[in-house]
Amino acid sequence: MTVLEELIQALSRMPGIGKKSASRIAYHLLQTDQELNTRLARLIHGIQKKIIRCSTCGSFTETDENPCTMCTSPSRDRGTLCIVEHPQDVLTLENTGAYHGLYHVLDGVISPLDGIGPDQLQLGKIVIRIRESGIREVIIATNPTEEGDTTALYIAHLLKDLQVRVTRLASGIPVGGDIEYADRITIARSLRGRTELGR
Amino acid sequence: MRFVSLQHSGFRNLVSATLSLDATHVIFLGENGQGKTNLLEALYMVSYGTSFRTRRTRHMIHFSEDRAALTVCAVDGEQTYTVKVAIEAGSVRMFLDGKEVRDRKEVIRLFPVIVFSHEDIQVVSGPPEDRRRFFDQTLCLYDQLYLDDLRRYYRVLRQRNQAVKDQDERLLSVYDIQLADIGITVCRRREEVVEAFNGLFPGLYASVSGMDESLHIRYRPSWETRNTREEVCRHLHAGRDRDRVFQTTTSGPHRDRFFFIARGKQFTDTASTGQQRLVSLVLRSAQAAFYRERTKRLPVLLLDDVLLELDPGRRKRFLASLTGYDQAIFTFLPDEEYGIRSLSDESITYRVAQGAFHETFITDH
Repeated sequence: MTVLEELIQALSRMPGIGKKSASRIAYHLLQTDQELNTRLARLIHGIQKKIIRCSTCGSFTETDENPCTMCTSPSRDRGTLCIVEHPQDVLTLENTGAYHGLYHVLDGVISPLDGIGPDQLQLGKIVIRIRESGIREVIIATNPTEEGDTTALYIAHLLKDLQVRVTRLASGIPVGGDIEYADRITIARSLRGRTELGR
Repeated sequence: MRFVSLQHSGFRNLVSATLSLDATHVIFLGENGQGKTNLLEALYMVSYGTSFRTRRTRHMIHFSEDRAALTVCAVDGEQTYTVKVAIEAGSVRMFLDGKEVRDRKEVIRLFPVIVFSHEDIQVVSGPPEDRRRFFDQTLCLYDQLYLDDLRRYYRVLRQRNQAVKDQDERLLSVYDIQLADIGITVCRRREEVVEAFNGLFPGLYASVSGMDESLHIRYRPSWETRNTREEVCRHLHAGRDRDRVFQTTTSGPHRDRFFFIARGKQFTDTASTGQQRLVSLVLRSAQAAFYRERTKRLPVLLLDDVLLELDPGRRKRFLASLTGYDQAIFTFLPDEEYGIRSLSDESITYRVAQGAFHETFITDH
């Protein structure tokens, strides 16, 4: 295997990158400034050493900022805790600009079929965090899948003796979406979970 | 909806060709093993993306080919649709008007096809699973939300079964709630469909069988008389020891039973093969009638060798009882030609031999 082929094969292991895109990237790297390649190589090389999991919430942070800036920020609402499946979900929620509380990353969802039970997730820490800080509301932001539901219900059970409000993200028709183009299951489920309008 | 034409290549033993199907009745006459059922299977494939006979795609491809392709044109009122199915070993891709179909549910909704097949006798005499599948299919034909609920139910069930095996007590309470919530919905829908069937099926059966025996369906849910989340959860909780012993979830809609009852007794205990065959045929008729009633649309019927094992009177009455369809496509053995005459208005007849189709004209002698 040539060096180029090896690079293409390695690149095609990235999510969302097929063989075609991989060779386009490889040929681009071959013809671009040496400087870009050096920088890319340096960044890729260092990423796993320089970026770690926050010891409090489990999201990604840099080595010299642990706990992460979100966990230590005095300007955030320290009474609300949002529980997400994966570290990248934190970024998604942050980008909305609508949430200013704290996070907790589970690192997956309960799925016995995949060998993932409560002990494989960062669940034990949640109870301790809530007890030790003044958290009043826990927002469960797991995906609306069966496993996400299981995990949400399990967390609700876990927290039922604590003085804390437990909520779950709403699901339904996407905002700005046209009902005409929403898929039928989404509409049917939204109908089931319809809400009362204030009069 | 009706099929207008089918173009097929590399499919089973069929000789690649384009067939016109543009008639209310399409009839395929031929000896066994000539390719009649293969053609019905091809039409089923373009409607459901799966076969009613096999899960192995390789079996659907001619032994000397690597791939098979089916293209069907269909009309529904003013609308015309083209569905193409490309079959390769291990993969089936579907295209609706040139665009690849992501979820086959989209095509099922457009092409309501009901198959009357020889294996349907299993619905009557086979294990309870076959009856559950029949009524589930009846509901799924017009209600995608039911299909969604059913898929979710079985997913949660598999997870719960694993939790039972892992002896993870903490999770069982959570799975009980999920199973109860989805399961109760499934049970209600099954209750509804049986109630609707009991308004359709007994009359149809009496008229085709020629007997005024009242045959009806009884639904016995595994969670009998347990209608709320709390009741079901208590029941599941009480059954945990048993679940542990059997290493699986021992109650729920996956254990629901359906019975055929005549004169207060289970019909299948005493029914002859001929009677069972007739019940299975009439169940399909009722399925078609139910679909019509719910959707106000007419289905396409695919009838594969349905007259076998019926006596002449019942053959006639069964064919006469078929109404309310946009198109019916039959396979018959050559000596069953008489059956066709009752269908003679607006029909195309093909003789099938060694995978090839020749249009033919049946006349009274």
